[in-house]
Amino acid sequence: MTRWVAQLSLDTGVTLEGLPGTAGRHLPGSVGGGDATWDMVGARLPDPGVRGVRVVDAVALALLCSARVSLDGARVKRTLLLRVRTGTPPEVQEQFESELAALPRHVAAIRSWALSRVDHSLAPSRWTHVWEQEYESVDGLRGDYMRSPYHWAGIDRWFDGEVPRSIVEPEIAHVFYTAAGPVLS
Amino acid sequence: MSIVDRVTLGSDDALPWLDRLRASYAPGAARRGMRLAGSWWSYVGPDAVEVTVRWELPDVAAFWAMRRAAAEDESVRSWWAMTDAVAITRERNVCATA
Repeated sequence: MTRWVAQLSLDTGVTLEGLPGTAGRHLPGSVGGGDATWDMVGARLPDPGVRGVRVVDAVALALLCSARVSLDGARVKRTLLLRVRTGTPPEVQEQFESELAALPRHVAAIRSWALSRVDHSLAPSRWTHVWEQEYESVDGLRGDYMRSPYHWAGIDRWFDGEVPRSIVEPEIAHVFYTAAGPVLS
Repeated sequence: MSIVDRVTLGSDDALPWLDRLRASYAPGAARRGMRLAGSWWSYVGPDAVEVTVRWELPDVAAFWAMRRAAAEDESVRSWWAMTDAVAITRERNVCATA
């Protein structure tokens, strides 16, 4: 079975309760994605089957590494969709992946997490990687995660176009929503 | 926090590049919240000079605001493309205050 992350476009007033898996409207501060994220597991991504809900972007995940951390109740699920620049040497991409996967060691607010490549054989996509985390609250994402020196001094150099060895294209999708229960665990 | 740029150029190119940085890049950097805290140069070979430029930002929020502004500014991309056309090596490090 494949894990999928889809970006949804929503008509005004629609609800996501009928969707299999987990879905939620994006919280303020989300950029680059649709109106909502839909996380689900299946051989393929089905049509939402809910009037007023359309899939505008879908990625099939090929898991690289992850960790599951027990957390009761609601949580914030964050997804970062990114694209590594075409032509990046494999060993450089692997170093980037290794350093990104070390972020949870530096940011205690990150609970369960997963780093995946995008499986383009199942669904063509403009993205190459998906970096997902769960937080107890949005403060963990907006505060602890963004304030970590390992993030802004270390990881961001892969993203910053002013840094000569950056490899991530400027277009990203940074989206997050409140989930009632586990998404990654 | 500080941002430190180190750019190695041919010795004839180094100080003209630094002049262009002050005239062309620094004003936009200031609008993005970066204060030019100092600049230095040193020979690193018979015909090569390393220029070091240090920028200051007041806090992490200012850093992320600067990053968003720079990503949307075509003149930033043009500046570094011009720099990379003449630079021998270049690096940028973002540093916490010790």
